[in-house]
Amino acid sequence: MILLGDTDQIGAKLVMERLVENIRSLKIPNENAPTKPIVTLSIGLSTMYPNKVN
Amino acid sequence: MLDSTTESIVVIEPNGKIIYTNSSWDSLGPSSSRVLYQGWVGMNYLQVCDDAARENDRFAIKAAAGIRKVSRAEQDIYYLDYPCDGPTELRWFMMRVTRFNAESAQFLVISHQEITERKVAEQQIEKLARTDELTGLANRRRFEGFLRNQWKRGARTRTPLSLAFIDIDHFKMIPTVTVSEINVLSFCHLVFPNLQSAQRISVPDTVATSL
Repeated sequence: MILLGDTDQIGAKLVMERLVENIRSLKIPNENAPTKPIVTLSIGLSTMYPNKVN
Repeated sequence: MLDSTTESIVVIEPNGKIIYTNSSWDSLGPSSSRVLYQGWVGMNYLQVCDDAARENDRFAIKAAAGIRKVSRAEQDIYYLDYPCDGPTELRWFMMRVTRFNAESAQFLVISHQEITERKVAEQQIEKLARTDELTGLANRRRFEGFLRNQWKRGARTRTPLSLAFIDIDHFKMIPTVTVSEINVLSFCHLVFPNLQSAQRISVPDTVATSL
């Protein structure tokens, strides 16, 4: 889990895309994976505006 | 007798004037220069603290406030752990302030004791309590604390907070001959520094693990 302070959805998406790309470029082998033979990431993202109630 | 103890002891009047120092204190000398210095008696301890406090030494601010509390009998005893630059490493000391009466006059006894070993052990335990052993990332406990703080901060500054949940695809298919701890560990060392470097420097983010 990564918590990004003071970051909106556009900013968070940018950071996560960079992370996904970094991991992909490492080409860590995962030959048995049904998709690509390297390690990849899946990321779920959520952005909130905190307030005192929720 | 007071000269034989390893604790550094100084006795002051309620206004801060130093009336006695033991030899352990004298050997500390000004700024811990390790030169035997006997010019302490007559100096004002509170003045020294206040001077340092004006230079924003936050421990001096606390020390001066603590001494005054004991002096005004608002507190019987005051403790303060504080760091001090040693010749090779950071050393920690504990200051203890107590009050005593002799012949209807009141004095304060301030003792300083080195506690570096205890402090280092405490800091290690604290670090272990906050860190995931396998990855070196923040553990759940630390993450929750961080989330609480960021939530409050976001509510105060009306700024958004983003949470990303990262899953490594087909993690169980990664060919580790046997999924021994060493293999998992080396894998984590390969992947997680990238998570760390994905963080921006100036923005308060944290990466936590739930492997």
